[in-house]
Amino acid sequence: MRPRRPPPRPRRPTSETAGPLARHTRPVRYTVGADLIRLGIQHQPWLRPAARPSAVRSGHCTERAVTAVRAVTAGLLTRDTGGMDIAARKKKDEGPTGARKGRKSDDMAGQWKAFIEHLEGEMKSVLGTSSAEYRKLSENWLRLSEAMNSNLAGATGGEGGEGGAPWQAIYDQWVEGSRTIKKNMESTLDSEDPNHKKLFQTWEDESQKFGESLADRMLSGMKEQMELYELWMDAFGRDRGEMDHFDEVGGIVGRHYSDFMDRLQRINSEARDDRGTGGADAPSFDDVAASRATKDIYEAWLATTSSMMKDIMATPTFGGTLRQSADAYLKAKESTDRMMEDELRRMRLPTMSQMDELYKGLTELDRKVNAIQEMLEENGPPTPRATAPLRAAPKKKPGKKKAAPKKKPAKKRAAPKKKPAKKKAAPRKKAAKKKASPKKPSAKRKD
Amino acid sequence: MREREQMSENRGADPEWWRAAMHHHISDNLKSASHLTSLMRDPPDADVGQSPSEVIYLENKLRLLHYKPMVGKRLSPPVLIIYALVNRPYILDLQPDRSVVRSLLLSGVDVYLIDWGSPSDRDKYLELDDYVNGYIHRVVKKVCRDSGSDRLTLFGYCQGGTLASMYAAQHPEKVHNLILMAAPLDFSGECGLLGRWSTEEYFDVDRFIDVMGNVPADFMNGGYLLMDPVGNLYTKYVRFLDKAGDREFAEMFARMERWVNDGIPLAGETFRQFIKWCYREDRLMNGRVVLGGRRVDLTDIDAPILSIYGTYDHLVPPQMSRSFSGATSSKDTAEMEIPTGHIGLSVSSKSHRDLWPEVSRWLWERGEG
Repeated sequence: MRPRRPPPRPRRPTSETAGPLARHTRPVRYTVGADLIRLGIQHQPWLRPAARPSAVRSGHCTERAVTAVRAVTAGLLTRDTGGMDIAARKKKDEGPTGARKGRKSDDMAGQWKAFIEHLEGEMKSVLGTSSAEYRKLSENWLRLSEAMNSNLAGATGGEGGEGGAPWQAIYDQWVEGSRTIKKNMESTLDSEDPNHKKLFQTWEDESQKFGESLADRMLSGMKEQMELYELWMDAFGRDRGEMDHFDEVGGIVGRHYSDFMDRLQRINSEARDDRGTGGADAPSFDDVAASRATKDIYEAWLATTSSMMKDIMATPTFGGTLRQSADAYLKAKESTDRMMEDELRRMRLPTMSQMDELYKGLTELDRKVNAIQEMLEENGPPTPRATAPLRAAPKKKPGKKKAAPKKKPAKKRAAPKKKPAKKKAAPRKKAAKKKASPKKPSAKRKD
Repeated sequence: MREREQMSENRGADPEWWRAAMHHHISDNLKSASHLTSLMRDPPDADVGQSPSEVIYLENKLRLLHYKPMVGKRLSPPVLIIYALVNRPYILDLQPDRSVVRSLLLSGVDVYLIDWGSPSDRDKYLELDDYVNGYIHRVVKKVCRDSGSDRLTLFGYCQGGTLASMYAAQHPEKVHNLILMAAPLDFSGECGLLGRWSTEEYFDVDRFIDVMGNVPADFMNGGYLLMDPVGNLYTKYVRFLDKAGDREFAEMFARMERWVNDGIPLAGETFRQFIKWCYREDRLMNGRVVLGGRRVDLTDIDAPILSIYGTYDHLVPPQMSRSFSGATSSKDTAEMEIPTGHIGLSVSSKSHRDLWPEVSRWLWERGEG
């Protein structure tokens, strides 16, 4: 018995051939998580509250969520043999006519025809039908055109649909063909010639448009997955008002994941280049190049994760989370502080609030002392005139009894009185000089 | 590119190729592990703040450092560095070849620096006015007395720049030049993540200060780490592992780690005012800050102004500094922008090659001889 051929792994175009196409060509079978994120990003409107089905908005979706969990789990289990049977479900849902698919297919065939005719007309007018360049490029065109015509005409379903080539395969064929055409155009056309440049630009623009349409057609076959995704969201608590947060953060994660996949693709291509340029005699592998490639992947992952996290930190969702965490912590601390306060009071120890009052008082006192000190510095030291009344005050005290011997002690007192005054003045001057001196080495503590 | 197109996709899946890559990586990691072991046996030197200095003034937790001159010629007036109220100021003198202080000293600048110390519960009621018209004013007077100069150059780094600008507006007679490095001054536009997280919607500053008293160092540090969680908590250490064999790199890394994890609390009332007045109400640029009963009017600043900022500064984006000089009366303003981040301004080799010689030149051109 022949082993069953695994389904073709979707290939992604390189960024230089497809540009924005890469956005539409995320691999579809890597993991469920990746799929969900990718789908969430590509179909943001689906996630907006207003666009959600009324059943979901009203919250009657538990049963559907359970169904979704079962379906996705079953899909995971059968993934290797084709994953969820989406095509079969689709057929059942839409009935046997397949009218919608047929119309889509016709649309694509029509687009392809218009694309081919337009480009061919441009080539004819720029290169002339008899030129060697025209003949060379037409060969590629013809080959791709025939293959695409045949497959597009036969296509009737979505990815893996019955009765025609799968859209994924058509898309792959287009990417391969357009890559070859581009390569030939680059080697054939004259980059200095403005007409040639214009022709090349027309090709770039038109091929992008067509590729995007093709990718959209390919993705339209995944609508069921989108529905499942919706149901998953129900299971994750959409009705608890968390959906907007998921939109926001999920969008960022998905965008960075896409960037990472682009980088990965680029690194992979470069690594293959490294292996291929050595010629026939080159060793089958080069461990330095291999190491560089894996290192590059790691660096790309780091850069992506770092920039993703920075973006997440800037979201209102994260801001709200910070607020919640802080509030929860403060609530707990308030409660602990209250308990501590009660305990300390019971033990007749100074409480935190009493200490706070003390600190407040001390700070006020500091301010007053500083203000007085500054006032003194600005106005200079107190003058003797200002101090005289204070020192003279005791002189008025003596009563009548002491009136007789008043003169003698007065003289005695007068004599020593001047000395302390001089002694007090002296250190003040010294101190002032010391402060002014720039050479003073020792520190002065003010408090 | 054409060769690439010729390659078959299947050739990329060569198991030999990936085996070789893994072999290469494992041997690299083993090398790193051996470097790490040797670093653990002989830890890298993490001494910081090695420029010789003396403490010439103490007040509460504040210390005023005066650096010893390194060359004969000395520029007057002196420069007083005002660092932010968070983190330690030795980032400006991290190691000899990455030292802003040393760079200024070698060009003949007379350097003083305020080390705010670590506030305790005792300091939780200190307000912006206490810092600007209290501590800074007394320090300025001390520096003037010490240097014999009437005025000085104020050099504010980060939040220190905000304090310096407030001081310069209230005491213009004391300020000869004003240098503002990565200073958050204009809060009207994009204020980075810190600005976003400081809004009323995400942060109840009143409740926070009422409960916590001071702002814990870990809270501030956590905020800085969250601004780039992968870079700060993972990539940095991966890079270290890659370069663990480079002794010089390991020493620089150890010093930076020491500084990053050596945060200090911030006085609660000051923080409350800073968040409300600056981040939320943008009072400084609008002349609505009132300190000590007097309005902080930026048009009172007429000294030459030098604004320095880093292009990639995510803590204080350049636009928070750019418009400041236009709001003053100064007719001599200059800007220097370096393609680096907030800390890179003081420690990156690029800054020490391109920025600091220019700053010294700017100072000498405006010195008193």
